[in-house]
Amino acid sequence: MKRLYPLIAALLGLAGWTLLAQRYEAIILPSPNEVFRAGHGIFGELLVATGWTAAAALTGLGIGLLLACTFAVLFVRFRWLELALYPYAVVLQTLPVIAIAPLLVIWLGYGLGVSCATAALVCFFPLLTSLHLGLTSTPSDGVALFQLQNASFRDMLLKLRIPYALPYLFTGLRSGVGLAVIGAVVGEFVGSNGSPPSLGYLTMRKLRSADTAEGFALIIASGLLALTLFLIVRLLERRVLSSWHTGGAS
Amino acid sequence: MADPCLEFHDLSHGWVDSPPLFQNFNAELEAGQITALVGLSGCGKSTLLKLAAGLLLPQAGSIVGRYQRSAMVFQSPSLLPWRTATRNTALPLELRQHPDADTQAQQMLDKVGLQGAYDKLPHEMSGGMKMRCAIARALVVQPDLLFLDEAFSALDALTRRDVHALFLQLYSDLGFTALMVTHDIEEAVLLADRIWVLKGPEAATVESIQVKMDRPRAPSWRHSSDFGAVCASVESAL
Repeated sequence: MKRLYPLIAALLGLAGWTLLAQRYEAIILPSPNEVFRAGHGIFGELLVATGWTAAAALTGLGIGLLLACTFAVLFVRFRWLELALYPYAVVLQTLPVIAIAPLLVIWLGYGLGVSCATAALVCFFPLLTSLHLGLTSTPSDGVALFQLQNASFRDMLLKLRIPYALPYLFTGLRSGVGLAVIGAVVGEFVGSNGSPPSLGYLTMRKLRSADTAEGFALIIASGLLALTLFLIVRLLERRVLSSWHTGGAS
Repeated sequence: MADPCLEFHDLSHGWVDSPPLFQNFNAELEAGQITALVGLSGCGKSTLLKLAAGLLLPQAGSIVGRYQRSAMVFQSPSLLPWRTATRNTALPLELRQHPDADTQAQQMLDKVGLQGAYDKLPHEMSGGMKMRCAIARALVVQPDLLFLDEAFSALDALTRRDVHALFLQLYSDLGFTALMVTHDIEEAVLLADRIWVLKGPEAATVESIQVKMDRPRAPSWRHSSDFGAVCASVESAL
């Protein structure tokens, strides 16, 4: 029964939307039916754009993850580096990505590079904080156990700290993957000239030309993309953690 | 008489903005014996153990150690949850690049009575099994010196009795020096050859009580009048 709750909520939402749409013109608020038809009409275009946005989001997520892993490990290894750089990582998080995107266009030019960079920027900080927390949350007895055997930093990292940090990493990835899609779409708003076609670029173009129903379809496609990536991360998390971590099994 | 395994010389230690835990602590840990550290809560027993194990550096004084390999059994089993009993036990050997880690680990698991649990993950084991695995992990490196930090305190009474019997058996078979922290006087008397009672402000006084009972000891010794007499002497020293 509990599994039906989201479906019931979705049906109620659609019913409410349909009722509300009857009070406005389609250019202001198209009905779900009109959005579905518009999406069906541009399905091929929408599929290609979703593919490019997914590529940008995943590339950005990969770059963000690589940077977050590197800095988290360096922060654990060199406390002075953490003290010196962590405040700037916090500042980076507070900068509005929409304001940085035009700067990235100047540096990288129009194209996929900007959306990859914005995606990497927005998911970097949550990944860094969750990874750093994970790497420093190793039980002290575990650390003592390794110290007593004169274990190297590498052994302690690979055999103790990283496995303990995995649940934290997946928590970061779950929020990071959604942020990466947002970052990619924002990057495409500003830094895409339609080559390659992407969800952000098409959404902007359709809404500017008052194709509201198609714009809605593209926005929904962005949401579905983020949801799909989230579910893939969740599946991966279950695979990796379910045998020993309760969070992975839930 | 053999050289002491550990010597504490004028050891002083404490935490920032707190009175020192101990001042000018002097003692010698006899090789081949089990020594129990008892004292009131907060007197610095576990800190002294960590200093002895080299996990903390003393603020003043020195510790001279004469041993090759040491290991520790912690209050909680501290098994790595993603590793099986074999892989957990093999960990110290693996860290020392031992070529035959898993086989040796399984031999040690046999010794602690975990023959059928080689592939069990920690969450599939009972509290007693986990503690046996933790003991196996400590002993697999054949330590000269074993540290136990309230190792049996988290076990229920029946399991603790079993683990005590196992520990006495392992001590008879393997022969190691051990320094154990415990707040259980009966446990200290049952297992140890010597009991250090930390007392007085800043643990300035150490009363050393010898437990005169031949080995191998049977756990049933705890029911004798001798046992009660030693317990009473430790209690009065506290």
